[in-house]
Amino acid sequence: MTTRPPCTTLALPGAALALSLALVAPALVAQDGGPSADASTSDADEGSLLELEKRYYVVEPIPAPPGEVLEVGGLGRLSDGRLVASTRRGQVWLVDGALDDDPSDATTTLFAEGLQEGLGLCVVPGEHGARDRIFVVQRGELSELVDDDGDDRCDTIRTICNDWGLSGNYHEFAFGLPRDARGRFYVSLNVGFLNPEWWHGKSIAPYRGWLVRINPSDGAMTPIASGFRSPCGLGLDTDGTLYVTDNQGDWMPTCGIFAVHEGGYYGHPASLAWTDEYLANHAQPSDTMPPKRTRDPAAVWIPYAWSRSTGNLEPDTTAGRFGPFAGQLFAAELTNGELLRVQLEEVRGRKQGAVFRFRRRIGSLVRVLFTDEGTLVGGMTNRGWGGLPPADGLVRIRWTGELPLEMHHVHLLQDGFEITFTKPLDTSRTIVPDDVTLTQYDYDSWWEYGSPERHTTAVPVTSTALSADGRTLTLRGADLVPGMVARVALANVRAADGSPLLHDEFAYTINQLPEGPLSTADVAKTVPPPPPRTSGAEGWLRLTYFDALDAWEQHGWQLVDAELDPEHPRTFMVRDGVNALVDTGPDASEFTSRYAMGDGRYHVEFMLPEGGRAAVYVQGRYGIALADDTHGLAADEPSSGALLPLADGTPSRAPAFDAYKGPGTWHALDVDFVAPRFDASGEKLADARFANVLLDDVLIQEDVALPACAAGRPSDEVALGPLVIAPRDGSPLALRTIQFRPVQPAVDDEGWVSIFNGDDLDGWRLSPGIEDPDGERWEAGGGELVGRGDTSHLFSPRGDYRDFELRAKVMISDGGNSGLYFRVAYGPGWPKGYEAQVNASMSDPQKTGSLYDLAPVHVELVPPDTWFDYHVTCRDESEGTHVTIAVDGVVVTDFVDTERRHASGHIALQQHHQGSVVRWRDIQVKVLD
Amino acid sequence: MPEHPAPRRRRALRAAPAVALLALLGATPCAHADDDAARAAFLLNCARCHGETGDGHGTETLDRPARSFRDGGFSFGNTAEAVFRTISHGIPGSPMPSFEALSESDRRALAGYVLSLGPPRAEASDEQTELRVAERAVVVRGLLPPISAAASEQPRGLLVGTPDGLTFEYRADELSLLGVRFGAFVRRTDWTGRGGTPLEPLGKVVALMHAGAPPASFSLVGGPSSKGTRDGSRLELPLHCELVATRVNGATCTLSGTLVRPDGSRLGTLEESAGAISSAFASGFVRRLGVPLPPDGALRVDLGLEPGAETLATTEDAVARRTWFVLRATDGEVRCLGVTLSSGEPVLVDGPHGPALELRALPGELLPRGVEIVTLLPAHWTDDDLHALLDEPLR
Repeated sequence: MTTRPPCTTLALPGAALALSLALVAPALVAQDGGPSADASTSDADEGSLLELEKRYYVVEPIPAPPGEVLEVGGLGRLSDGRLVASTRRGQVWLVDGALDDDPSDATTTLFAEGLQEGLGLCVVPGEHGARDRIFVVQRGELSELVDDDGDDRCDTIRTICNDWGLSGNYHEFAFGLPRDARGRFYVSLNVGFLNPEWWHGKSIAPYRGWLVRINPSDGAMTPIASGFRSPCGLGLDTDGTLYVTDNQGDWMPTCGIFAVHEGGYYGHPASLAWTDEYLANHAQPSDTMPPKRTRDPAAVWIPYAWSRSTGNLEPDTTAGRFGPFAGQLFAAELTNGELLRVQLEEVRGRKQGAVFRFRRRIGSLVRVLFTDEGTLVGGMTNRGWGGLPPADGLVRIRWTGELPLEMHHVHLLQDGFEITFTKPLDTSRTIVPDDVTLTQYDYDSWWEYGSPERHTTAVPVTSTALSADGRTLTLRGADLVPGMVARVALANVRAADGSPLLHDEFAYTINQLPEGPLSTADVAKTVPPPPPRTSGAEGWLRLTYFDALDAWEQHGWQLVDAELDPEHPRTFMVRDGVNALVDTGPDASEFTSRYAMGDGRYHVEFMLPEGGRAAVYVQGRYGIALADDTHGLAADEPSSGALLPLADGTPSRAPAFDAYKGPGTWHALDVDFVAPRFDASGEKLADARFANVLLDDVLIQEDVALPACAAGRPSDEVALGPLVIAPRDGSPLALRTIQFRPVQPAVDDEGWVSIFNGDDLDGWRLSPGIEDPDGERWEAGGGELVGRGDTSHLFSPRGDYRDFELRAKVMISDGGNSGLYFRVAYGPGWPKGYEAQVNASMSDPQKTGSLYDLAPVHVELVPPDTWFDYHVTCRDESEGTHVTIAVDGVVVTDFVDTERRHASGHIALQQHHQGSVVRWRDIQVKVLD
Repeated sequence: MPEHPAPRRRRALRAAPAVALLALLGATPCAHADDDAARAAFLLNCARCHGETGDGHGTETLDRPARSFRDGGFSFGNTAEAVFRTISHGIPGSPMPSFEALSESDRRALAGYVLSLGPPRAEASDEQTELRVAERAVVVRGLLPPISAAASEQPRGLLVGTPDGLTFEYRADELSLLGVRFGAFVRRTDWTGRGGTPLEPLGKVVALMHAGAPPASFSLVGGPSSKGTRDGSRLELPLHCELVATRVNGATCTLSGTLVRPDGSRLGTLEESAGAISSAFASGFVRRLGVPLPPDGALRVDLGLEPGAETLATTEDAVARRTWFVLRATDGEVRCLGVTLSSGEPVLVDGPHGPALELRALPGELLPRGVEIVTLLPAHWTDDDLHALLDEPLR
């Protein structure tokens, strides 16, 4: 029952690489793929590494007042030395004495409350004796908190800016809060995660997924850069570079640190919805298809093993009081609960560089702040996200004063690295190329959650040389390529004073090499999306998806969440929800499909209460009993899966097995049905049959002929009839996921003409005024015609179709929209004619099967990324123009246009918006007049 | 024939699933058999990748390390519902597969077990999440649920709680009063679970402005920026009200906003504070506004009633310099609106959105104009009550 998880196959030259590092257990980059050292570092080694780190950096909690919880989201420091912390609970606390000898003596008092979160804080020091100013970014506004009367309680909350979009989605956080040299603030905005597809970040309110800049003097908000997903941390370096961290997820292969420039786009397409281009075209970015826009590079991609949720980053401005790393950046990591060090350089005009582990096992660190004394203050929270405990509160991290041996900084060479250490190395032992493990890898930029390290390649180093002063190790001879991360680990490195290399590995993101042609390859590479998960649904019509009742004739049924009522188990307990269709009383009608169906597999999921009784009637005529037997069944009463007696006296037929599991449990009934056959005059040639009946995949009826309809049902037998599900005796019944997979009749080719030759678009015309010289909008080949890009329509060569049948195979992308137009006039804009809509998951409530605006279908019959057959008939009749639309052979629309709106015209295909992709095959017409 | 009562409808519980599953997770100990079954299912389905102890070190070789449940971090959140969804759906693109082949109850049990391997999650209790108002007014910003059936959710909402038990509920993006409640203040449901959920105002609604979905509170008529229509009637120009600040001063909270014309030009600053007021006759609330006035034309202040409200009586309290307008709304509710102005006379008009106060600047007037609107909510009204209205002092 469990499925084997996919493994990545790794191509490595030569044999598997075994790695042995002085401090870390072996087993790493193996032949069939695998993660770095840390994932298989044993707990014992982690423990000993932690003990080493503690020699140099100590972590001490700053206790919260008893009973209070500080889910820290923002940190600042007042001129009088007190810390200020804003929290996710909308409180702001002042902490006095946090940096004294004993932090447990610190006093924490409440300054403000009632904010709507507070995931960023900035103290602007008062000048010339004026009071410090405290700014907090709440979920909905950037505010200044003012203590009017000096009693250390906030009185006024000034709204600086509340212009960004907020839809109410739970995940729409606003993060901050750096302030640049011109006094302007920066806020980053999380996308939303909605139901039912919670794994796609969505930007449904203005500027979600953007970084914005706010001028406090007038509150003006300027959107700066897009493409973010969960940009939890910002950081402003001393050189004015603004950094944003983002968290691994859809379109984010791993946690990244981005050096943001104005107008940049950093990878997650949802936020493109608010660019001028998309707004002007009413376009929607696709959840799954890569957008046209290429993403800007990250300065650093952090190895997944080191960070799963990165918080903010801060430059070390302590001038050496926090150790020897002045000027470098330190980043908070929440899930693993550690502090990372980031060292960047500028190569070919852009920032890129290395990330190192620094101090582990701190807690769910999300915010860090340096103080002049050299202490790093940390704020923690992980509610709802999870992470290393402690889950909340404040900590401080201080340097013990002892100088560790670390790789201080790394400089990229054309064929290697120059690594400078914090102290001289032990020269008695030479470091040789075998001591160096250098691999390169990149990532996929795609819609699925994160990416493994791809194309991991061992890159041997041919020479190593230590400088005379023992401080700088130069590695050369490596065949480095840009557009990949370089991971370097060193073994056998010890300081002259005997101390071990505290952290022996770094990951350097190589966007560009120092020389040579500029690379255009991003480390996060666009790849074709993987095959859609729903492709197994081809051929199925979903009769209750999205608009659960649209395809059904009924009254008294409701869409709810239902479960067995524990106090009254003969009925259900219901509440608002979307998980079940329930009849709400004995007066509820039967549940009858609007569509008439024949051969195929019918799938009905049902749940009965104690004593419940129901029946499923295929074609409304051939019945299968559903019965809960908790309180027993009468002697001759049919049990679940029994075939009901026929009108010709055939008695009920018991199921081969008792597969019914009990009340309050969902079951799946699958029926393979063969309809009766008739000759041209209507005489029956063959009986209807149940080829198979399965209950929860157990075969309970096999190959049963049905010479007559069920007793009590209509007695005329038909080629096509509705599916009817009927509660019996007023019983409560819960239904969900009703689907039908038609068996397609043999294709009749007589009279059909292909209007698309499968190879090119000769004779077809694009909407007037639109050129497509490179086939970027419409691409033909291999039997398929693919539409992409901005809105356009493709008109058939002939424009005089009047009465005809039209069929095609279509597939529409997730969030995409298209249409099959007919009797349409050649012209600009939205064509004037009839349209058979093509739409699965795009927001338009008119779905596949609709005759657009005239006869809408709201049930989402076919999922996106799934081929289906479309069959349209159009005929002038005495009462009007008669149009039928069938999906996979089932007629879902049968409409007579009494106004005879369109007399004749072209057939046309629609490309609806940028981000939508539609595929057509086998487009054929049979002219009838 | 067995009896089949209609399904019993339960009140929608906002946090129902999480609450139900918390009971599964550790607040109450599971039955022994269930524990063993969940652990057995974990060992069978999960341990290969996540390790027998859930430490992320399984025997399977993966392209990325599996989660350590002991450390408590999850890709999609650490609530029971989120973990259940991940087990059901998998994480496409990662080695985590879907386990939808397992029954729903098995998957929920696994979610509970997996969470139990991690650090304990402290959930804020009901006691901790209820905010109470003591002597100082309290302002809370947050996502507000619809205040009434006609209203919508407010992603930027604002609640002002006063010490005398009233809660004034505002929309904060387009600053306007939605309604008034009486009772306890608010529960911060967004302090539990994954957050981001609506606040739960605890007071009972005693008055709604326009059934909870008010139009613009302030508008302009006449003046150069107001267009006339062909039949000569004057169009009302709605003003946008931008929140500028909230200021708590003891028991009062003052909201200030900027009134902005449709063309983007600013009319001026509005200030508003509200509190309880009552007399022996009836209880209610008072709004004290400081409003800017246009140099030409008039400012209209919406009074919160739908069009078609009937004026039952008008009377003057010369001593208090208060004009009373007794209005009966279209739904039958009677409101006694007592208006006091710092200058000028109150004029009640029938605006397109309902009754409104129309205010014109007087020559040489020092703005802003002070406007006090008392709203008393009597349970019923007869003409005799006019005396009680005037006689009983307000406090």
